[in-house]
Amino acid sequence: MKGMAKIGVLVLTIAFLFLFPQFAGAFPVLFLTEIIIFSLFAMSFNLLFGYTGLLSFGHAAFFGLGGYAMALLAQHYHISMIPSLFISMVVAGASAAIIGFFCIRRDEIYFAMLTLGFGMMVFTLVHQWRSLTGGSDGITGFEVPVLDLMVKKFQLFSPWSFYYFALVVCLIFTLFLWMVIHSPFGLILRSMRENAERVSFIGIDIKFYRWIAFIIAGLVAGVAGGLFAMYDRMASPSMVHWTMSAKPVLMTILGGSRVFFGPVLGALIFYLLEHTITQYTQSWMIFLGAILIPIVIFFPEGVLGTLISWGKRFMKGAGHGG
Amino acid sequence: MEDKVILSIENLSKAFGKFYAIKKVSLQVSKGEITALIGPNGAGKTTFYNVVTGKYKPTSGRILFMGREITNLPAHKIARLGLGRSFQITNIFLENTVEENILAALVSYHRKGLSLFKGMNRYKDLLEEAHSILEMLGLKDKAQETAKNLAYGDKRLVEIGIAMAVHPKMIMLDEPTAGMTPEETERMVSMIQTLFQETGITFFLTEHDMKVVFSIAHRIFVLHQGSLLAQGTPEEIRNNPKVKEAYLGGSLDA
Amino acid sequence: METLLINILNGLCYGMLLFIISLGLTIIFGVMGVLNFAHGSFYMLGAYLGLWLALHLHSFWLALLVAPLLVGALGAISEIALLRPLYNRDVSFQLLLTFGVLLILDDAVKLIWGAGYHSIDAPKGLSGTVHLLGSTYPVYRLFIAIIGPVIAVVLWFFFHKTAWGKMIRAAAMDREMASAIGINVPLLFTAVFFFGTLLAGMAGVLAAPLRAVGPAMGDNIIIAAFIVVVVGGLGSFVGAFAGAIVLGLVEALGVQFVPHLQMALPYMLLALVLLVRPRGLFGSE
Repeated sequence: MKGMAKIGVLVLTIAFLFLFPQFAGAFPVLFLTEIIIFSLFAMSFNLLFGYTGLLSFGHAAFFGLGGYAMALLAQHYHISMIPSLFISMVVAGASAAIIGFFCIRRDEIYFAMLTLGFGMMVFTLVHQWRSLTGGSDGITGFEVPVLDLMVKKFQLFSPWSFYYFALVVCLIFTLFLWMVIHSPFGLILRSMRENAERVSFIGIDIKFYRWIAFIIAGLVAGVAGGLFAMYDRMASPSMVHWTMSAKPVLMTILGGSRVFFGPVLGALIFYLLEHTITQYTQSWMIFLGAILIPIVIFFPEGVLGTLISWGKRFMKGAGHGG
Repeated sequence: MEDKVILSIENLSKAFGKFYAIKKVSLQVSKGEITALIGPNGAGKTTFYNVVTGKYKPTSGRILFMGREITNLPAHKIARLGLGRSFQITNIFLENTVEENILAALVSYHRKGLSLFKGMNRYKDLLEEAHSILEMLGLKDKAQETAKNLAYGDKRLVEIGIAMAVHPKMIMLDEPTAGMTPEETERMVSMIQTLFQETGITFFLTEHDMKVVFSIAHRIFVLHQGSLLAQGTPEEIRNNPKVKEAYLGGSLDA
Repeated sequence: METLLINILNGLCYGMLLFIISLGLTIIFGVMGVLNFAHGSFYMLGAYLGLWLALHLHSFWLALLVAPLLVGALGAISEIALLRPLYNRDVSFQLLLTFGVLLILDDAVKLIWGAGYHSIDAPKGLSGTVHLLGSTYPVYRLFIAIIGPVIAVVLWFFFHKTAWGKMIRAAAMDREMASAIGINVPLLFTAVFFFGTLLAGMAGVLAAPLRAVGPAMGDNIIIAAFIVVVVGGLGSFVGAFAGAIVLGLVEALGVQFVPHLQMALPYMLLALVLLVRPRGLFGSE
């Protein structure tokens, strides 16, 4: 019954996501594209945070590197979409392998600080290497690669076609993350989140497992970054800055880090708030802060996590009553 | 003789700064027995455990497990060799289900940890094994409960279950009855005896409850201020004047 | 050579500002376990309030006295109202909450004082320049470079010789012990947050004649302060002092010797220290 309800909500949501552009104009479609991309970014972050217990404050490094790889490929090599995205993913994953090799040696606040440090080194790199990255201007003026599916080629210029492409890619990687989390590997990650020391006493090399998780999170963040660079028609240093790393943190804690789709709801809330508030006032941050604080205080498991807990308690109460 | 020894400690010392928590301890644990390590509070029992199982590096000395030197190996490698342990403070995966607590250890033992795409629920053999362990512990009905919601005594059993699930050759229990009510203690003691009889695993435990120690241990080591004070059968220890003195009389006869 | 010495002086000057800010941050972390993301914003608020008060009270020194108290009071209020419900929760919630405070403060100063940059003259007597090593150097910078150690000494006495100071240090070392020996922990937390944010505010006022006062100044300094406390060792008084001087010098000398890498230097320092000494230069394992 509970499982059925979950599947029902999931099917309806996916159906809505596929049908939405049929009824919506360019702006809502673009808006939703960005939310979907950031949902994937936040979910990749949450593999580390919610499932492994590691708070990364430099996750934008891999988002940004994916974006830069994509933009450079589009600008210089004109290869089609899927290989480009694949290369972006590999670039981000390889960087995560190198940076992660160092970061996983520490945990808690020290891990957060190390990821911040390495993330900002990547930021300096893209900011200063003008000949390659265009410095603070970033890379612009490239064309979105063609999507070549062997049987048919698609142009992804229009917001609608790009939306569908981004949606499918994000769904595939969401499924990927879901499988990882529900695998034996995922169980070890969750056990490390609960008690890393205990895990080493059952014979697991926790550093190695953290490293693998870090690489997977980097790979998926790279995909999200590649998509975002195409969506934005631009790769800029802001994609790599720590303030970009703060976004998935915010979204995930907002939505709920212990629930698989928590980061998605968090991303949705974040963008809806931003969009609504900026219509009325320039200073949207003060409102974001004013809304964030009560959410943090009154929704201890994030919005989705807390709602699910309430639902469970309600069901239990109803069960006892009946 | 050589074959019978499973764990051999030679001149083991551990210092924190200038303070020696363990001073030149040498002892040998025999295979297929229940051995107890006792000593007044602060004698260095937990530090000794932490050094042997790789949580701390020893300052000097050697540790051999099944004839292999494990002195400076990291904890996870020592565990892999078949030296399991439990903790004095309950040290389980609180937000995971009871079943998942056991499964994590089984995943490690069966080397399935790097399986990334096959769902955990499709490993029927591991699930069955987890259930048989939970059945042995009397926790089968609670398999799906979140571990943090268990009663204290049950949490301690999960702790033992995790240690058992990695198929250890020898298991080190750090105060398995710490903080338990008399009923819970009794249940734990009979559980340890059952596990010992059914699996033949070597048990090495620390314990503050002398009644428990004298009723289940075949051999006892006494640690006092970081040094080994005495060793022998329960009978020998009970009558050892040095031990009595260390405990200020009294509690040994409890 | 002259440039080098001037840069070292600049580095020390910046380092002393960083020290005052970081000390507040590290005390708050040491005692309460809270990494206060809004700390830079309290510093910024101190600068704005200092500027505004100096203008209306016609005295920089009075502003230096009053503005930090106001900032500290606001800090204490936010601790009581916002942080208290969160002490039993995961650290990430406290981080996110202080991030919310940061968002509010950053926009609030924009609403009150506008988005532009402000500046204020150094107080009379400290506003000129002196001849130093063949070039001229602003007196006010020398003043900051000197007042840093003075504050350090005063605070050292506070922490080592007064009952409150000893209590705070004890609590920073071991929180559970502190409550075990009967320290009123909620009151202590509020006092510590008051004191920590007061220091941030004081650094803000001191920085006002030195640096452009604008809405971004808090966000720029908070990361530097994080680096200082982590490099020095979280919760360590000496560590904050050493970390601040090291970072100040690294930044100032970086400008001279490796201008391209200058932006990355603080982060390289951070990563290097953490990899070699996991708990920072003066942190305890």
